Amino acid sequence: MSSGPANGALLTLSGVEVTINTLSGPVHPLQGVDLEVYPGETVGLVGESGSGKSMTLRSILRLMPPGGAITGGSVKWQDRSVLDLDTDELQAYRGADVAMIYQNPVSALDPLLSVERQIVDAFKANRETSDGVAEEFARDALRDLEFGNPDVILNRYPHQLSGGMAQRVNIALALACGPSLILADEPTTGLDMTTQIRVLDLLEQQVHARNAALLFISHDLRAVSRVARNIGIMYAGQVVEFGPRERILTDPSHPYARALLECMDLRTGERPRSIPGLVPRMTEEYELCAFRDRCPSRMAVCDEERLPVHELGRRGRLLCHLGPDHG
Amino acid sequence: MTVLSPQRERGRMARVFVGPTVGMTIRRALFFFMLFLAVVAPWLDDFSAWLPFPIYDPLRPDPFNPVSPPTAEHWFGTDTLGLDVFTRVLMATRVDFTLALIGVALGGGLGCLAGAWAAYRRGWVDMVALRIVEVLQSFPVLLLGLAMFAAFGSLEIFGPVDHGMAVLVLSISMVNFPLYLRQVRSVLLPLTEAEFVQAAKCAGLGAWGIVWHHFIPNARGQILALFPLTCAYAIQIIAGLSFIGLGIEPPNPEWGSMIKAGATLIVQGHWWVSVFPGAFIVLSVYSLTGFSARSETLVGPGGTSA
Repeated sequence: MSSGPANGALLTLSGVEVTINTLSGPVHPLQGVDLEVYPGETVGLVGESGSGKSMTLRSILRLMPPGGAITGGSVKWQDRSVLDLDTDELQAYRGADVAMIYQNPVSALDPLLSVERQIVDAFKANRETSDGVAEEFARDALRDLEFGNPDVILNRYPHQLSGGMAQRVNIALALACGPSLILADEPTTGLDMTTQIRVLDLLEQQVHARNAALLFISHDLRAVSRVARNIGIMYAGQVVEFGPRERILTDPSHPYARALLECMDLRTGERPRSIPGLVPRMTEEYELCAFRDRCPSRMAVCDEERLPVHELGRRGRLLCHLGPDHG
Repeated sequence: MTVLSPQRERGRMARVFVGPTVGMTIRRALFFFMLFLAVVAPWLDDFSAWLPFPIYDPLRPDPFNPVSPPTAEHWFGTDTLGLDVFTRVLMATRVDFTLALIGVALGGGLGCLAGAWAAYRRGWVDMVALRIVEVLQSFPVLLLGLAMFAAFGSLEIFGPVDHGMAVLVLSISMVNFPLYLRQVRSVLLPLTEAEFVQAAKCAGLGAWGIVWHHFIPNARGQILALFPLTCAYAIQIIAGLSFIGLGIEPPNPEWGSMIKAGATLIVQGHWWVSVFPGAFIVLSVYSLTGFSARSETLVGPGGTSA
C-alpha cells in the first residue's frame, strides 16, 4: 500500500479500511482503498452495489453509519489527517473543503424548509456574511443551473420540485458551501435518461467554473465516463484499477474491468452479458484477490500470494497478479 | 404544482380561527372571547358605563351584601366577604391563562430543545435525558407541586416576582418539560439517519445548527398539537394547587381558590360562589381542545390539499 507524502494532492486515501458491527457480525465494506484527488480534476469511481463506493465517500467525510468505524489506513486533506480532526475542525472541513451531493435528491432536502432557506443556511454555515449576500448567491446559483425563474424556485418546498430540479438545487447547495472538492454519490441514478445528461453536464460545468475538484461515483460507467478524466474501478472494497479515462475505457488491465466493459458493450446487438459467479460477500476479509473465483485469467499465484500493486505512470494503478502488460 | 401566494398566507391565518369542524370553530371562538376578556379585564372598570354587566373592584369587600345570589347588580352573586364573583372570575381568567402560558412555554421550550438534542446526540445524552424524564414523570402531578412548594416555600429567591406565582410557574414547567422532551425526541429520532440531515452535516452545519434549523422545524406540528392540550392541563394544575391552598393566595382572584372559598357554602345552598369559577375552568379547558387536532395543518409546507 502506498502511503507517501501528499504530493500536491487535495485528498489522499491510503489503505482505508472500514468495519461496521452489525447484529449478525462485522461487515468490511472497505478493505484498503487507495485514491488520490488533485485540485480541479474530476475522478470517477465505478463499481457494482456493495463494492464500497458510497462508503468511500462517507469515510472521506467521516460520516459513518451506526456501528461503523474507520479501522485502518489514513485519509489526508492536503497534509492534514482528516481522521485526527476534532469536532470543530471536522465541521469546518465539511462543507468549506468538501461538500457532497446525494443520490436521492428529494430526501436530501429538508421537506419543511424552502429552497432559499436551505441554500442560505449552507452558504452562511461556511462564511461570515449576511442574509442578503446569501440570498443573492442563491439566486445567481440557481440561474447558473439553468432555472429560468429563480425567484419562484427559491420559494418552493422540496415536494414541489421534480427530481431533476431537486438535484440541481442539491448542486446549488453543495456549491453554496464553496468547497474545493465535491463528492457526488450517484447523483443521476434516480433521474430519467435525458435529465441525467443535463444534470451531469451542468454539474461538470459548474464544478469547472469554480475550479473545484469532483469525485463522482456511479455504477453506470457511461455516466462516469461522461464526466470524469480519471476513473477508478472498485471491487470488494478496493480500487482494483485506476487510470485516465481513455485507457480504462479502451484497454483496461484488470480482468474485472474488462468484464465490466464487455457487459456494457451493446454494439453487438446481443443480450447484455453478466459476469459469471457471485458478488463477493463483504462479511469476509479478503487476504487474496476477491475476484479470483470469477476471474477468467485465474493463475496459481492468485491462490497463494497477496495482491501486488503496479503503479502505471503518474495517475495509474493496478491491483492484479497479471500485471499491466498481459494480453 | 402550486406556489405560495399571499392568498394562501391569508388562508393560513384564517385557519387559526376556523377549525376543521363547526364544533372546533365554536370552541375556538369561545377561547378567543375568554382570551379577550382576560386581556382587557383590568381596564373594564374604566368603561363600565358602556358595559352590559356591572363591574366591581375584585379586592374590595362589601360587608353589607355578603353571599348574595346572582342578581342584576351581581351577575354571579357575591361571596362571604361580599366580593363580586363575576369580576373576580374575569380577573382570574387573566391570572390562570398567563401562568399556564408562561409555565408551558418555559418547560415546553426547554423540553423541545432537550428532546431535539437527545434525539440528535443519542448515546449517553439520550440515556440521561430519558432517566430525568422518568424521574419527573414518576411523581404524581399534585405531589410534584406540593414538593416544589415545600422546597421553595421559605426561600425568597424570586425577587419582586410574586412568590406563589413563581413556584406555580416552576411546577407547571416541571410537569411539561418531560412531556415535550419525550414527544419531540420520539418524533425526531428517525431524522438522525435522514439523508437531509447527513447532507446538512456535509454542508458544514454544526450540531446546534442542525438541531435548530432542521430538527425543531420538523417537530413543529407535534409541538403545536401538544401546546393547547398542555395549556389546558396546566390550568387544571394551577386551579388544583390553589384549591389546596398553594400558589395564588386569597383574596387574589384565582379559580381554584375561589372554588375552595365557596366549597363550604354549597351545602347551605349557596352554589354560585363555587360553580361559576368551576364552570370557567371547564370552559377554558374545553375551548382549548378546539385547537388540539390538526394543528399541523397550520404549519405544514404549502401546496398540499389540506
